Amino acid sequence: MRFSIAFLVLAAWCQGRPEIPEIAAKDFQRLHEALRPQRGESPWRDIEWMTSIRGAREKAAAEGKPILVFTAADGSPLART
Amino acid sequence: MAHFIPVALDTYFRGAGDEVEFCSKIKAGGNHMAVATAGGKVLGHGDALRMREKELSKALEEFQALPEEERKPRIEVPSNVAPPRRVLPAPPANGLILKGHCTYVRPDAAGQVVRAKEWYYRDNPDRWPVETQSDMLWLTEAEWKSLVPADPKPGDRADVAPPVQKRFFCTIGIDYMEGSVNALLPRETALTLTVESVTPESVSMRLDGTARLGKEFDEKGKSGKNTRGCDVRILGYVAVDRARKAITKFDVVGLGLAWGNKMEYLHREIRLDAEPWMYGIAVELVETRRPIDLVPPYNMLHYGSGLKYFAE
Repeated sequence: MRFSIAFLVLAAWCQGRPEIPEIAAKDFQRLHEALRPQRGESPWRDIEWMTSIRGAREKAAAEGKPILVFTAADGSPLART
Repeated sequence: MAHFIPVALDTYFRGAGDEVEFCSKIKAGGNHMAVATAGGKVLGHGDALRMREKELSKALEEFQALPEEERKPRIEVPSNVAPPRRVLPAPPANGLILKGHCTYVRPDAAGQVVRAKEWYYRDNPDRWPVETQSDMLWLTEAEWKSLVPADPKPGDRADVAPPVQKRFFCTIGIDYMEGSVNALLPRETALTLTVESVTPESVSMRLDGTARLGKEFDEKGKSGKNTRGCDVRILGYVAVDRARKAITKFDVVGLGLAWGNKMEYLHREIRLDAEPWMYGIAVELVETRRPIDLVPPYNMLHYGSGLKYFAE
């Protein structure tokens, strides 16, 4: 049965007529993990970014550190842009 | 990164007058990275999008060579500073924050859906792998409370309120792998919650849904303007803590087919062989409130699709 479903999905894909597969409950956790950012994929996500320039300046001055400013032109660089 | 104070900004929302002025001084705007002192002295190359270890090391060396009054300047904010021209919205009071993720997928040889490896500018020697994209979904207190049944019994089914269905599918149910893409308005949506189990402490529900968004797929016109569209199917699980009256889990998986150009003025930076192509989404509840968790949903701020975020 599993082979038949796999064959049908692949056959449809190869013929340029892809169908959206059903999402089986037993596949849910695997897919939920596979579709989220993967370990090591986006190291920037592990950084504790601030989102206030004034706050960053005050913290930098207090701690004696430089500021790294990351800007994006169309959306936050911490999300999609 | 421990040697730096990292700050990330949407160029259109850089803050009050003193903050915009500081950004202008160090040329922090557009798609850009810069290193500077708290007083506004640019360090390192100063004009590069890339800040790899070697660029950061050079900037740090320059910083450490500065006198203390430049490394630890006194920050004074004028009392008459201009307020922000655009105020970054905050999440709704007592609202729900969900985080969505999007990536490309494909069926493997066994028919199992797995991540697909695609590239930005794949024909370029400097190509790099596409990265999972993330976006937020905000629900008001009234909206998320409408998802919680008052007297739940296993097997109870209820349709999710149309504005929530629309916002969910239009913004984080689509393929947004190229980042700055507008919401796709729905042609058809269905989203249903089914109570699976009830205990004195909790309610567990399953979320099933489908949506057809944007334009219909047209084999002849697929490379033309204004051709974006997608079909998506989702499955999710929602848990409610009855004592806390709080949603404690909101996990969703979605698989979809997408087509068309992402924008009117750009062709795809990610070339894909198949059209329609397959994408997947995952959604999870955000329980922390760090700055990165409070980034507004993309289509709340940058919309050209006609979607009014909370108004519908």
